[in-house]
Amino acid sequence: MPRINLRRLRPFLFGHLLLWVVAAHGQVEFVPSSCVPADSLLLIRNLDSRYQLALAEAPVASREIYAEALMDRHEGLLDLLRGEQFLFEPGVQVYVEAIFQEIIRANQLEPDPLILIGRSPTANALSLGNGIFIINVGLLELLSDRQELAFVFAHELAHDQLRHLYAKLDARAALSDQLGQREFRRQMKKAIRKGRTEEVAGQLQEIVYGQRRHSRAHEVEADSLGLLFLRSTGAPAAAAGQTLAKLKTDPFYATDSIDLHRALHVADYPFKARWVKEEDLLFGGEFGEQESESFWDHDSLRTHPALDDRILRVDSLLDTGPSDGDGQPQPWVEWAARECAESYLAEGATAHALYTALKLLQRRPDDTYLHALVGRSLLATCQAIEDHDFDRCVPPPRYFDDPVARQVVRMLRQMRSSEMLHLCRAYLADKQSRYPGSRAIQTAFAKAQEGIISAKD
Amino acid sequence: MKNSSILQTLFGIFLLAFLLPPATAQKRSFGDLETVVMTSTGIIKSGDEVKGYYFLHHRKGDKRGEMEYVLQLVDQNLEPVGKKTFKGNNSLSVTSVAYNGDLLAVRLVDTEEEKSWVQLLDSEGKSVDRTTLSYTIYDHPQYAESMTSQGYFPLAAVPGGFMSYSTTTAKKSAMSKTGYEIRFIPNDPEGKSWKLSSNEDREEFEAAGFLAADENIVLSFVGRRDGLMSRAMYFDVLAVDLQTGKELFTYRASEMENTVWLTDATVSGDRILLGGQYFGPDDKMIKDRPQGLALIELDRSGKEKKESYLSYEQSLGKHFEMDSKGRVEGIGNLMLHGLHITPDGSVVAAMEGFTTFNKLVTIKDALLLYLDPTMKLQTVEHLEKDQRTVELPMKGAALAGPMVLGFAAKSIGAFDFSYMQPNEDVVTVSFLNFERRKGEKNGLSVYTCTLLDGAFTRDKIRLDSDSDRASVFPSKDGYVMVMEYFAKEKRLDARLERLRM
Repeated sequence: MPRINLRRLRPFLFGHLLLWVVAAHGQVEFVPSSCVPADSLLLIRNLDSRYQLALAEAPVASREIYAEALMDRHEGLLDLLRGEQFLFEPGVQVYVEAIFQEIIRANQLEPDPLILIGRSPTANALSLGNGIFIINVGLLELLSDRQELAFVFAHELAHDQLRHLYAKLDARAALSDQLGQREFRRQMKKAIRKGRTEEVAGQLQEIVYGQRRHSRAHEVEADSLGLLFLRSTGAPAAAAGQTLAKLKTDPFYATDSIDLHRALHVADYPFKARWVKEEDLLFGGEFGEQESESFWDHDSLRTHPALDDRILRVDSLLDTGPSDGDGQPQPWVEWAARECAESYLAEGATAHALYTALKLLQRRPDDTYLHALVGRSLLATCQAIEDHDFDRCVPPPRYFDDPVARQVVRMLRQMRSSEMLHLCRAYLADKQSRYPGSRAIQTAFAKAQEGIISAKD
Repeated sequence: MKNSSILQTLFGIFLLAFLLPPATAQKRSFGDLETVVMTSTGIIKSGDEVKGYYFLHHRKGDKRGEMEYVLQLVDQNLEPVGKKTFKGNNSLSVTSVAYNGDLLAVRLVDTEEEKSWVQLLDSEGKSVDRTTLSYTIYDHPQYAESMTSQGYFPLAAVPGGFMSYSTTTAKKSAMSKTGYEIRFIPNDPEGKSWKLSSNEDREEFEAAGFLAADENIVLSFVGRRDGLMSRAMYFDVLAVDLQTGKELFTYRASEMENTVWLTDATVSGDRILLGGQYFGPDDKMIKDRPQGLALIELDRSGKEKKESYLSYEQSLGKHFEMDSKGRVEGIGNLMLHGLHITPDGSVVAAMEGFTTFNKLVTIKDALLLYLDPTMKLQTVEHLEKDQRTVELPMKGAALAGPMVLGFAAKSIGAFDFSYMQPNEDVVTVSFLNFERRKGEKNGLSVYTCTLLDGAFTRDKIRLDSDSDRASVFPSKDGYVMVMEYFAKEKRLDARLERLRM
């Protein structure tokens, strides 16, 4: 993959950051980044050459399994690309690649990484083998320190260096051999015939648990090697424990509570207490016997070890106490937060988008893009009701643990569609009069005035 | 109903006529229907409010001939609340469940043992009390299901307890004289319970059903008929002190100039509002066409304060062409399915049009009416849907008049109407219509009309064309509950659909 010339991009990078400074003062509105690469053909060629190279290296005995998995990976990536599931923001790309390169150089590694910024708001990063990495925008929102990101990238590089993808494929090939053996199949059929279904279920359950144990062992290895990689860069190793601790918290939830009444009250359409009124549930939600225990043991199904265990293990490898990092703030947090909100809205997760907008407005009450996002989320929910797609857009009432997130869901579930449209219009009209120059609010208001598109009318 | 005679059918209609009260939409999937049998499902109400749904399924128990029953409860969002497991034989079913904020009342029927009883359960699923009821043929689940699908619930939650309504018979035969048994079952097993029954010496056939209640008064309608085939039918309202069981008054709607078939009531402060359809002075209910809607206001002592009427001919005549027989052009005869009186005295009525020919009944469009407290027609909503013709399976049906045939069609669930559900300040009416679709497989659609601030808003939900059976249940404000059964996968899906309103 051709390296991005940092020098050439520097003016742009600083330009973008400058825009952010201005945006913070309410003068320039956030504009979502492009989901289309500057040179699609170049990117597709890069992916294709990595796929061909991986295929060529596949062991003869397991070629079929390798070919299938590599094909799935290749086509999956192309689908994500076509589905506009990656963000191509040159500034972010430069920033992330610089951290990767620092680790690679410090550890004299050889990969030529292909890093894609995924639109998913989930705080995660993936190593797909052959130097392909996906960094979710949700991770960039959560990790506000450069060293924290460095540990995650070091961890993913460790997966790549330890060829964990291929170890997984080898394990799959071995399992396929086992399941394909005539004796094994004969024993299974016999057990089913004799009604010993629980025995068969137990054996199959053990196979699944075995795979997950394998996966958890890989994570422990990647944590250890990742920590070594991080140390070589001279970064404080304490960033590792700090990062894992942050990942343990759900980044979706706000630290401050949101007063929905205050946030959405408009003089022309006052907030109604009924919208957020707690539902009176049958027996308070619990009656008689509760559901029996699941067949699956939740812990045994984990692909990753519990974060508490990982933190303890990483801490035991450190010779220093916890630190607050080296104080290099990660500059793309605000951008990532907004991209996460955009991503939610693009995927139709309107309750998530609304909650994110309200959460960010707590920090930046004059951000016109966020006010527009509130209106857009309400309008999209109205459209979902019209299209009978509401359940895909708004999760069940008890989906979130956080009381404020629950309240947002409850409001969207209890507010009538006519009230929602009314509130959306009143809210945007109010913000338009307060921020007359905002293009984002103007556009959202115009759409709200058009109303919802009815397939039935 | 396949082999039943017109006599039996008419008897069914007779009871249906008595018991027709005011018919007053996450996802949950039951995919293990290969190993369990879904016996009964239904809604759990507290007053007019839908508090959840119940699903009763059973599988073979450990002992021979024993069944293990699981009564599973879900809340108004279809979230599991819990379950209660109990043993029984193969003939147990639940015919109604109600919730009054403190306890759950479950009405169970054992057709083999010929027993019927109400079990009160607390939040832990423990039995608080058991009240044995008189078992009759009308406790049979099939009959009970037909009644509940028409909006009649044998159990109603009232402050401090539950009301239970049973139809009794002197003999086991379905032809024998019927009577009513009204019971108040208090939450506290040591509390005052009471029972009112038909007079043993009565000459008439009788039946009763729940209308409305508050902390002090419970209103029930009592229907009477001289004989099984008698054309004379009367409806009275019986008011009883909820705490003591003492009869407060009987409002003789039967003695009014125009016969009124009361189907809904509401108690609002000092006022009691009764509503229904009225007939001409010499007309007979069931046989003749109703003339219009009636609203009667009483004080709490049963004294009549006001009568208001809305003539179909005069009011609907302004919106539709009507012939001399009172039929609406393009819609035909009108069958009232649901009537709701709001506390301020506004009335919402849901009806469907039908025409008849020989044994054939054609179900047509629906009409929804909204009347202000002065009984002035404010809004008429004409809901167009695909028409459908059903052939009545009753012998001799061709000899009956159109209204009788209409009631016969109603008794076998031939109409599209599903329910009328009042919620706070909205009323939702739902119909399940089989659509003929161009260029694609025909299928069912749910049509809903929601009345809010005096205006109706329509919505339409196309159901999965692969489902083998579908039904629609009332739900909380702004939703409809849709249940679809997939025979091939032996799967039952229940989901809430959000409504535009």
